[in-house]
Amino acid sequence: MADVKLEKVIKRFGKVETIHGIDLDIKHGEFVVFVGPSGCGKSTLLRMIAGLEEVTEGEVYIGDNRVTNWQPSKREIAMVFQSYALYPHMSVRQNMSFGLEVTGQPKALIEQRVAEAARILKLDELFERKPKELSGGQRQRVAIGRTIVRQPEIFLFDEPLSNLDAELRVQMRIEISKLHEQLGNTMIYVTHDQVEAMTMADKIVVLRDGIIEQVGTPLELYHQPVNKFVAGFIGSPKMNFLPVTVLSANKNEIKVILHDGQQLSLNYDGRTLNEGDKLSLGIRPEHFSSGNSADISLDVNIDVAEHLGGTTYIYSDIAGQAVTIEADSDVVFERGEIKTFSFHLSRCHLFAADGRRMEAIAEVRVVEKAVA
Amino acid sequence: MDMVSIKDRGLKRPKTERSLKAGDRRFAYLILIPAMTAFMVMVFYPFVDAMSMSFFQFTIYDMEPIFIGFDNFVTVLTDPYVLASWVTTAVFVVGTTLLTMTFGLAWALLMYQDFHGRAVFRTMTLLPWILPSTVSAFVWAWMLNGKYGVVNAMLLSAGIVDENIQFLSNDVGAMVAIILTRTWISIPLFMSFFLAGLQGMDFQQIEAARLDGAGNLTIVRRLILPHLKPVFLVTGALGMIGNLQQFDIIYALTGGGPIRATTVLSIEVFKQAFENWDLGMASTIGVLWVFTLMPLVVFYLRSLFKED
Ligand SMILES: Nc1ncnc2c1ncn2[C@@H]1O[C@H](COP(=O)(O)OP(=O)(O)O)[C@@H](O)[C@H]1O
Ligand SMILES: [Mg+2]
Repeated sequence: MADVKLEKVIKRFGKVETIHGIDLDIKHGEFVVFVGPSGCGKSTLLRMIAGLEEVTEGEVYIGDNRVTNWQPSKREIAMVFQSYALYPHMSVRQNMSFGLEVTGQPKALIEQRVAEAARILKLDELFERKPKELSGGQRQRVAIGRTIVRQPEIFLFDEPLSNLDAELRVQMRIEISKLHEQLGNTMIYVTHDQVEAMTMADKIVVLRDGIIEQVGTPLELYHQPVNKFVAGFIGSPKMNFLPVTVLSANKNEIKVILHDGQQLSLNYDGRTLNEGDKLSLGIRPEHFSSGNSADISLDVNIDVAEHLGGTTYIYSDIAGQAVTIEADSDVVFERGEIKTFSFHLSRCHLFAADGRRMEAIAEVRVVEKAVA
Repeated sequence: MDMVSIKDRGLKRPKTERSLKAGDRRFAYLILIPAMTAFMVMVFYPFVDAMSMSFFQFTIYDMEPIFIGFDNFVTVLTDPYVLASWVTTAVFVVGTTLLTMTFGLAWALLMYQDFHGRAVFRTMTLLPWILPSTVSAFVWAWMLNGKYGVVNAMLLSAGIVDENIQFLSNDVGAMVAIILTRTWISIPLFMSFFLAGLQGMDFQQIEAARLDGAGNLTIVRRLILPHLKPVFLVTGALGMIGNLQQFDIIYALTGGGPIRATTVLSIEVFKQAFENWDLGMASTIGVLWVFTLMPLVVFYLRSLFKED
């Protein structure tokens, strides 16, 4: 079994602390994705699991073993690098057999494993080629092939698709997911692309500046983000944040006023709030509908309309905030038009001034339509 | 008008284009003239002039050069002393180059490691390079001294020898001394080459190999050495060229002796020219020496330009 467990893991490069005490449990067979903006420490964390980077404080466990100070080769892990890191002087076959060869596996076993990996990844034709004679996607496959021949307990991927073009990226994404299903191993996958995270993960770990913001399934993160950062990071296009100001707040209810004077009363526990506090009302682009049929209506001045055929994105600016709306694809919108869009309060999230998402205390919310 | 349509209609290219190209070429030759002139006057003429001396007898006893055809070459190629110089040169060049490359690579591998004070260490490594070569020669002559040299002291206390070795006054010792000194001076340059080569390597390859279970030796043998192959070729050629030309250290340390044990070609030319005042012989040896160097230089330049 290859559970992975991190306990209060800290990483310092010299005096600079980049990972600030991370606790994490990964179950055997899970596909876990570390996602976060560039520089947040995803690679560092992954490399500490691999043993390529020293752990400054804290412990790393794999299975029942505390592996914090183990050599990488002892950990039964394999890793696919962003640069692929293929051995340039070796053929595809040699690249794949290298790991088995240097650890002294019998020839027959090596041949059988390499042939099996080549079959899974459709590499047979390329056996005698050198890495520089391969396309990006083929190199990627060899890099993966090199890891599966070793049948490791755990696969690590560090942004393996970011050097591929968009189409190939989608294709490889699906293949890696299939591979996970086929092999059933633990996979830890690093990406800055939330779409990859959402589509591949059993469990997503959202990182920011060396700390974990949230751990959860893709849908948990989508529906119950713990804060504004996660809410903005997960989902594409980004969630919109409308500024609202507290009019009054008590144990059962918060009254707020929107930029255009609409007043809303929300079923939240408002005991920590004061009159005049600035909050954010989060609503995703895909939760707008045309016209004023839903709970709250907004008049939107269209800055840009992108008609993609299947969907249309409207970009605008509301009270100094950039706003994106996913609109009907069969209506043609013109730049400069003012249109009404509306959304349901049940789709909204309320974020406190510090970014934390506030928990609603009841499903039903009352709306007062008042014009100032 | 675009090129494709011109071609399609089977039309000739417009004439103006051709004459423009010819003009370009003329201009290129024009700006080459000053450089070529300087090269001819400063380099080529003196070279040919000196080399032509190899067809003359011109010693201190001759009033002016006497043309003797290939006689000098016959003399040189049948003179056992001069032929021995070739062997001495070969021993020195091959020995020094191999030793320098080995130590240069080893040192580069060390300096490639991440350790405390690496920058300071790397800078200190350059010291032999900065010292004037005569100073280095003096330092080594001192260290190898037969009475109170530190090398002898170390060998004695380690029990490797029973009595002091008179390095500079026996044949093998003198050769060892000049090879060691020259190697010591060349290591920084070679280390820099190898280090640059190592730094051009994708470090993730090494990490991947570590995860694959490869040990240090395997990584050096299977990944690092193949990666450094072009560096080996270039440093090898460069080292041979430099060592073939080597003069000052040998002259300062042994003067070509004892007897002729370390008389390499450069020393031989110097002796013929400035001790025997036999300019004809000196230039004959010079010509043969140049022809020895030439293949290496051609190889070096070709591998340099092949890169891009
Ligand atoms: N070898 C290193 N030395 C110093 N700082 C480093 C080193 N590697 C990474 N860092 C720093 O650690 C932080 C996290 O880096 P990284 O894990 O590569 O981020 P990510 O993979 O999420 O983009 C960055 O601020 C980066 O500058
Ligand atoms: Mg990274």
